[in-house]
Amino acid sequence: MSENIVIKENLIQDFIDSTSEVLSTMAAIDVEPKGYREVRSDTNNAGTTVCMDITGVIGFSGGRQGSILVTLSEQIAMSAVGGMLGTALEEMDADVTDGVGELVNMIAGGAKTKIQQKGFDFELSIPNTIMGANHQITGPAASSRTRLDFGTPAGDFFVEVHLKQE
Amino acid sequence: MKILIVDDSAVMRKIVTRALNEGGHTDIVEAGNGQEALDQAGDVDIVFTDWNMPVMDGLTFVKELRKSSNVPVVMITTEGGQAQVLDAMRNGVNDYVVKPFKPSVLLGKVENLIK
Repeated sequence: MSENIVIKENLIQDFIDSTSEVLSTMAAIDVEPKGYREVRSDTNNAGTTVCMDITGVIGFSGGRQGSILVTLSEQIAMSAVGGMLGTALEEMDADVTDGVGELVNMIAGGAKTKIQQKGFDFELSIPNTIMGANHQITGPAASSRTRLDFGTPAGDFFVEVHLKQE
Repeated sequence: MKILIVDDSAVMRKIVTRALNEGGHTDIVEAGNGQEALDQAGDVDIVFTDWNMPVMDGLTFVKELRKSSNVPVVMITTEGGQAQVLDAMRNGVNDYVVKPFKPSVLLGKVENLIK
C-alpha cells in the first residue's frame, strides 16, 4: 500500500488551519487542535467511520480521489451554525443541516487553496449532510483515513480525510 | 440600491443578507442557482454570487449575464486559488470574496463598486 499523502506531504496542517479559520471567522468559535491519527483499510475490507450526530461530507476528484468530512454533536452543530447566523439555535432544523454542509464546503475549499500552493490539485463536489446519532460512513477499500480531532468550548468534533490509494 | 444574492445554501444567503443589512442595505433579492438568478438580475445594482451551485454554477451565470448586463458582480467562493480567480475575472466577475469572510469585507466590496 502506498504512503498516505496527507501525512507524507504534511497536508495535515492545511486542514487544521482551514478548520480553525472557518470556525473562528464565520462562527466566532475558538478551536483547539487535539492531534491526528491515521486509520487504514486493507484491500479487502472497507474502512468505516463512526460519526457523531451530524456530518457534512464533500467528495474530491482529479489528481486523487476521496472525501472530506466534518462530524459534530448536535450541540456543536447548533452552536457553530448559530454563530454563523448570529442567533441562538435550539433545534436541529434545516438551517443546521444546510449550515453543516457549508462548514465542510468552506473547510475543504480553504484546505484546497493551501494545498494547491504545494502543487496538488483536485476538484470539489457539492456537499451533503447526514444526520443520526453514531451514523456510520464506509469508505472504499484500500483507502487511508486521517482523523483530525478538535476541541471547542461546546465539546469535541473531528474532521476526517478519506483518500483512495492509487 | 438593490442587491441580488445567489447561493444554493439558504444559510449562506442569510449570512450575506445579515452582513449587508448591517451596512444599511435592505433591498435584497435572492436566488438559489444561476438559472434563477438570470430571471432576477434585470434591475439590480450589485450581484453577490456563489461559484459551486447545482443547475447553473456561478461562472456560467456570469457568462450568461454578461451577454446583456454590465451590473457589478462579486463572486463569493471557496475557490481561492489564483487560477480560479483569474478565470472568474476574465469571464466578467468584477471582484471576489473568499470564504470564510468577515461581514465588513462584503460591505467594503459594495462601497468600492458603487464609487
